[in-house]
Amino acid sequence: MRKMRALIALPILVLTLASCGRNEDNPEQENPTGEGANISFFGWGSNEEQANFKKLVNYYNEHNEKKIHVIYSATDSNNYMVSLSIKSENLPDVFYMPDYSFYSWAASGRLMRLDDTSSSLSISEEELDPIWDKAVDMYRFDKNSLTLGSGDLYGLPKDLGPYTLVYNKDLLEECIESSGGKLALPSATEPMTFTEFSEYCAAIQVELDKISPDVKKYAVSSYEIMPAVYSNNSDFYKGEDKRTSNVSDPNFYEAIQFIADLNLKYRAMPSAAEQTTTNGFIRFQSGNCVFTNMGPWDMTSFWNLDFDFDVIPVAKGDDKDAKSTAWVGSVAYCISQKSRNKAAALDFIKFLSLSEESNRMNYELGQAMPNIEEMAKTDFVNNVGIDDEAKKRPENKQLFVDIVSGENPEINGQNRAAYFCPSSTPYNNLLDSLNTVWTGQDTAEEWAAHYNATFQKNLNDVYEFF
Amino acid sequence: MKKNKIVEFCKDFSRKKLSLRQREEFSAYLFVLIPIIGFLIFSLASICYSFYYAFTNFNPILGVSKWVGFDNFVDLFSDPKFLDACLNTVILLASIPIGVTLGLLLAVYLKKLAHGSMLLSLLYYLPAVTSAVAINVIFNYIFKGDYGILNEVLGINLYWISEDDGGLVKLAIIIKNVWASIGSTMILYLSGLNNIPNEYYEAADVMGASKWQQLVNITIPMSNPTTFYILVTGIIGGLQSYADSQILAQGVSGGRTIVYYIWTYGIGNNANFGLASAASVFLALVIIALSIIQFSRNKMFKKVR
Repeated sequence: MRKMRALIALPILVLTLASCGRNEDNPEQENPTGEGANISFFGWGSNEEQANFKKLVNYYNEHNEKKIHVIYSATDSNNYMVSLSIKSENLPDVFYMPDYSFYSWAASGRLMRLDDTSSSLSISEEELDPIWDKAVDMYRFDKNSLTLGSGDLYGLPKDLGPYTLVYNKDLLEECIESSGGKLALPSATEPMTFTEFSEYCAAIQVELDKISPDVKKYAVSSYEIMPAVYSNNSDFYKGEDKRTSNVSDPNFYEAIQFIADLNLKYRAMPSAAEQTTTNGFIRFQSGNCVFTNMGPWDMTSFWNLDFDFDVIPVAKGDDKDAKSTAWVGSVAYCISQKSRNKAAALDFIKFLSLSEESNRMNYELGQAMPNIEEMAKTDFVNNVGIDDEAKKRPENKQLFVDIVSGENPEINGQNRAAYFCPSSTPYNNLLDSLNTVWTGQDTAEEWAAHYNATFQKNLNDVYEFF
Repeated sequence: MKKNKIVEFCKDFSRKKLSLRQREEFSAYLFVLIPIIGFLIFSLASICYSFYYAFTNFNPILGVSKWVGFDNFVDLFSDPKFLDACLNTVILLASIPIGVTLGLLLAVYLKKLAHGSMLLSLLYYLPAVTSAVAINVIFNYIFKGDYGILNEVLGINLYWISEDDGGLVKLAIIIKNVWASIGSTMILYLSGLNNIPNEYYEAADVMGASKWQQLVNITIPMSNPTTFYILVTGIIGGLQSYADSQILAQGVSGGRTIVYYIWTYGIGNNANFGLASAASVFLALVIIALSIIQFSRNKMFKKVR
């Protein structure tokens, strides 16, 4: 019977050990030309986005001698980084890398360097020239000094997304009419100050309550923390290495208080409870608020709305030096350092990120502002190639360009707070801690006084390995 | 050499050279082989890894980990979010005694029902076979603040699921859990009640005991093993609750449980695997302790019988 037990135990042991084992790379299997390669791709996206991605792959194969086969797998964005971490020993050839996770991954050595001129597989400066500097520099990392924005290139931008205020033009015009002309449409280029915006929203709220006494409508659905902080001459971190908390900066907590007051003082924004039950995006789409936030990727959804909409700059602090500064998010295409199909993968992501066809297709589909600076400033802004009037919205696309270019002295764009950190934990925890401010239990100043130390501890923890 | 031995064994097996007992044992081992492999890979290996990582600050992206001793446990028990999650989890267990009481009363009622008890049992049991996610989605619509079904029906304007009031969200989860568990509790009690000899009730009738006295002095004591089983499995299940926090409560702080904490603050975007592992180990120890109590109580019930 011992024999029998041993016979049964053997496959169990083998299977168990096999499951714990790691796939070792075999460099001999490298595909140097990329011809006919099977490229494994991992990302996230709605069904619509996945369909658009497949269109790009088909286009690539139709117009490229080296046909590739893309093995596409996707998950939802919430679980994406977890799934990618689990795959970290056996990464797909090409995968999305959100800006807020880039720091750790670039430092890990698992991403292929894309601009190594000593290698036959690299991207030249000429190829990168037409692309927004901001978009390319975002994926540079200096491993020696652990600095973002300079050094070697580890990703190519999928997109560059400025996130700004959008308003329901039809609803606002109703309010203007109801006010007897006391209200006016907001300026497309001149940002309001915090006080102006708060008072403007309060005035809109008065009219909304008259227009819609039964269904509660709000002047603004919610307000983002990052643009409020950035536009009030402040930041989440201080110091060149951005490792020190800046939460106790008066400009920081005044920006937070400005948001809280939109509900607590001006009653022009839903309470925290109301925001939990209906988020700003849905409230805007159902026509129950005037202002919410949008990025270029929202264009596809908003084109289907039965009301007109347009974008304006985010509000700036009351100080005269304050500058309207929206956050600019991005996702990169990265290649695994251990990929056996580096040549094909590089060629493919160059097409996705840098080619005119891909960039044009992306903006025509309402997915992104072009990565190519010239195309963004001309064709995107002027709706070249778009015949459908509904798809020409928002009218003020120039604002997206201004936020990224920084050429307008009144308007700017800045990376998301989590981008500068090896982990988004400090930022996420900070957001989570603000409930007492939103409900009015604490003022922003009181909150900052006790949360500053926690934020610093969170920062210290995430920098433990760096 | 090894290969020859395996071939020989297979030949012996096919030529019926093995005894009946040996052949039966071999078949039995084959039957348990797949679950054992599953257990080793998906449970035991994971438990061992979790236990190890609970004492490290493992970073999967960098592929590095450092032994940190009990630091993760210290961080865990000094994190107000974890303490809140523990408290929430315990408060949400209130649905168990309520569900047990209602399930028992329902079982007693159905047992006495001459007609239609099968149909009613089936109807009451339906929530037990419905997906937990589907139930949570439906109850989210019921308890929604804006245009929520309950608010509309009652003509009230309460934000059940919000950061403002942690009590309301807990109440919503408890109501949902009572509704969802009542069917399975009732079925377990019904089978337990059928094992109570009728002679006890007949004797009680002869002695003039009221129905209430029969319930208190016969039904409840005789159903003790079932009650204990339901309580322990309910508590273990309740400690592992996640869908309630994520889907029904939409992650609001008043409805966050320990497993929600493990996922969101340990593994999700925050990715502190050491902390998540420490929380998992803590939860596993609590559940193991409860299981030991259950086994020892089971033995006690057997001795009493």
